[in-house]
Amino acid sequence: MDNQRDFYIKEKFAQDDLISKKADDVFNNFFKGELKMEENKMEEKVVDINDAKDKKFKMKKIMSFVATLVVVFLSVNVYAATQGYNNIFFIIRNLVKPETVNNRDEILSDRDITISYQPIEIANNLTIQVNGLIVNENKATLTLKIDEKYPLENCPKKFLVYDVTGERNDLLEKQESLKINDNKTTGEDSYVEELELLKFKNDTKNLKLEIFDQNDLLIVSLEIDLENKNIDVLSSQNNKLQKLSETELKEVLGYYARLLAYDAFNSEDFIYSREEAMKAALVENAMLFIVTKEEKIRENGYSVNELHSAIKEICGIYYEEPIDLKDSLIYYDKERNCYDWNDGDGMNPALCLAIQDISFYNGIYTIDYVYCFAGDGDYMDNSIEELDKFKSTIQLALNNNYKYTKYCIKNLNEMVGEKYTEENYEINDTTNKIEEENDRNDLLISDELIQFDTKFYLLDEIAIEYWDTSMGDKQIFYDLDSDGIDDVISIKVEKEINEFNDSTYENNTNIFSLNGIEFEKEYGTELYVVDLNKNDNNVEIVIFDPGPSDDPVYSIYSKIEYEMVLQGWIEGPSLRADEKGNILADFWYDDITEPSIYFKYYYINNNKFEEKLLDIEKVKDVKFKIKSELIPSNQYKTYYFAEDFNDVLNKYQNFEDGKMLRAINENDEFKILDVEMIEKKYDEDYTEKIYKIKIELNGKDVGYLYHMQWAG
Amino acid sequence: MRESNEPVNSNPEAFERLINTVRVKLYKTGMAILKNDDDVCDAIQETLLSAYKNFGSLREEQYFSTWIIRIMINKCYDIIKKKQKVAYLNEKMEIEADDAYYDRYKEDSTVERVLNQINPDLKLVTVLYYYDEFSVKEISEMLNLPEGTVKSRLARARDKMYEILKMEEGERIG
Repeated sequence: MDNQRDFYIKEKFAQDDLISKKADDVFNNFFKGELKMEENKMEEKVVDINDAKDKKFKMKKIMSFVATLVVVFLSVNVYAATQGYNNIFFIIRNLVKPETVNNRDEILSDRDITISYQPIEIANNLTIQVNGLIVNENKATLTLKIDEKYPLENCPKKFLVYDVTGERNDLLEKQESLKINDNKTTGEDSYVEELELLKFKNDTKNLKLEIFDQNDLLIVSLEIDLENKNIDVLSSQNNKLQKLSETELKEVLGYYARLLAYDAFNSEDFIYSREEAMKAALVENAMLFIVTKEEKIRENGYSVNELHSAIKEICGIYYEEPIDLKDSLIYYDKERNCYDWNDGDGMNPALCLAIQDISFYNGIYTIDYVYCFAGDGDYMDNSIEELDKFKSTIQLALNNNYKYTKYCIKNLNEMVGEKYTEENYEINDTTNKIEEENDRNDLLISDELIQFDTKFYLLDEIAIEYWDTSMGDKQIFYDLDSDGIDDVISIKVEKEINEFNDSTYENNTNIFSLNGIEFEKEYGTELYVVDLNKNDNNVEIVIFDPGPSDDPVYSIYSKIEYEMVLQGWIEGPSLRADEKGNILADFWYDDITEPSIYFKYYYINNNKFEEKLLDIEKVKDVKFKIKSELIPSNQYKTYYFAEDFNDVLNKYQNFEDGKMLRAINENDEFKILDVEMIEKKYDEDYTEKIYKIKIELNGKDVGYLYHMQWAG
Repeated sequence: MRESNEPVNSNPEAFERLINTVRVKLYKTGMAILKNDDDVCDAIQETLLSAYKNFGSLREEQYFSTWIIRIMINKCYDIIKKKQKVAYLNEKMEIEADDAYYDRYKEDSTVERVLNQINPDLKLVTVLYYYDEFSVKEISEMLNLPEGTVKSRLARARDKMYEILKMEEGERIG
């Protein structure tokens, strides 16, 4: 029937060779004369493009200092990508899909998670750092790093008692420090405490960690907000303790990495020695801090004293004499005894890409970080990831009374930049890194949370065997039930020639069988042998049936005893599976929101097939942001909003672009308030399940979501 | 005889000859994406320029049709994007200039009449398959869509178009 209809439609369409007159004129004019003219124009354009490329090439290494300042003005926040490190905020972030970062706007966007890197000094010479929260189904382990220092002999050793509570009940019986029996009484010690929170539930939103001394007196309490990724630290007097901002820290590291430009580039690019280059960069940094603070560039330069004071804040060193800047962007003007800048080119500013490790001891943060030198051109053509990356270690202390910067470098003379060559470091794809981290930590996200972080593959990507019946008959040999004997999967195509009007067309019947026993006939056109759950001993067969003229369906079969048994079927144009038993139809899945969202999935394990609906409790109050209002592949809009659910139904049923439906645009945010499945009867034979998704759009409008990526 | 690795041709005559084999397809494809004649004409103009500029790089004449339709699709999307950047013109894009020739085209063109009665989202796949006669696999590659998605869209459009065409035929006969 399909073939017959296809043939008929094609025949009718083929008779239509009309185009509009205007379009006809476009073709004719193009060939008549404009072609030559356009050729000339194009040649000019090519020249322009080549010029631009030359300029861009220069931009790779050299960029105007004024542009640097613009960056400073604009970059209130600096790139703060997660790389899956062992800090609680990164672990929490593992629950959401990592963001893709490929241009400056995104890199500079506000990702400040306002959480503390700061180890907390809970008593004299005793600091604690929350190192990670490892979630394993409904259990969790809170990891703390404790640093102790015993300056005096025979000083009574402190020991600690921990108590962790959640919203509903105690998560941990009070647990004493593991170091309690340690006889060590002098020197320094650092150890890790692992607190197993056996009563932890995956929907726990807040933790409170209280730490007591040996006399059961509260020393400090930490309020950990898992949803908002925030830790508030309260002293025993209930004062909030100071926190560091990840964004702010990375911004500063970007500035300070600039001091290592000499290490990063061939010395031929410099007119300085290494020491001179670092001093010149200190002057630049000082100027940057002043300009940032004043939000404007002075016309009359900057006095030596002022600039050198700023340098003292940066690195604790006060230079008495003016710094020789040679022929660079900034110069020293003897007559005015001030610094000012020349017009000209300078190095690209540095950008801190990631903080790898941070530790705190005796008032000093030791930070390992990765950075690069990026110019505007690199952001424009998304080539940040192609730039050379470097790593360095810096020691910072906090300036209590500061004018320009609160981060003082403590190891200026020891700072060295090295090429960063870790092969798996990818700025644009943190997925692998995070997955590796998950493996290391045995971090198992519960089934209910898979919508946030699990990678789903298209069947094509994970199929062990695939066959399309348009390729004819086929036999596939594969052991489907791990009994050591290959099963024989046969695909047979029976062709039938029919006549329609004066022509003939082919109609095929496709027969699928296992070891000679037929299990599906007629409509299926594609067969996949695929292991949907690598944790069980079965390999499934999935048959794709495109119609005949209904919605496409994937049928899932498992071998039970000696025959294939239909486990269930899933509607949708394509199917994705995570190889852990979870299966999604593309119908309800897309990558257009951040985090990704879907409303229904299926689970298959040991030949059991279940349909699971989104657990609304898991997504309540989660903000979903529209990353792209258009589907990348076809540029159609995906999400619409309607105040009246009948308008959504109308769209589903009749594909009518009712005026009541409002397109949801890029960067719009919505919160899901409720999800309900309703059955809509299309006609006597067909009832479709439709999700009634109540949302709050951009924090104000309440209505319903229309989402239908596949109908495009 | 042309060596297999040489460009198809770089002279205007060859380009014009090949364009004439696809000019209607280009127009119909454009109409499936854009909503008015003016925009489609702009896309055609851009496509011709871009294709002519890169014509020398095309090595197999048999791929000309796929190649230039792909360019056309991209140019159409560029136009949509540009319009969206200027303002949200989705609705306004439907407003067309008063053009008697174009009005007549809309009445006379079978493809246009049928496509206007199906879900707008299905138009492009439909034209590529039924008019431009690309295979499901080719469309899948062209639009970066899974083959299953292409098939499902065709399945959704098929019955509706068949009914429309049959009804029109009946009306003419009746």
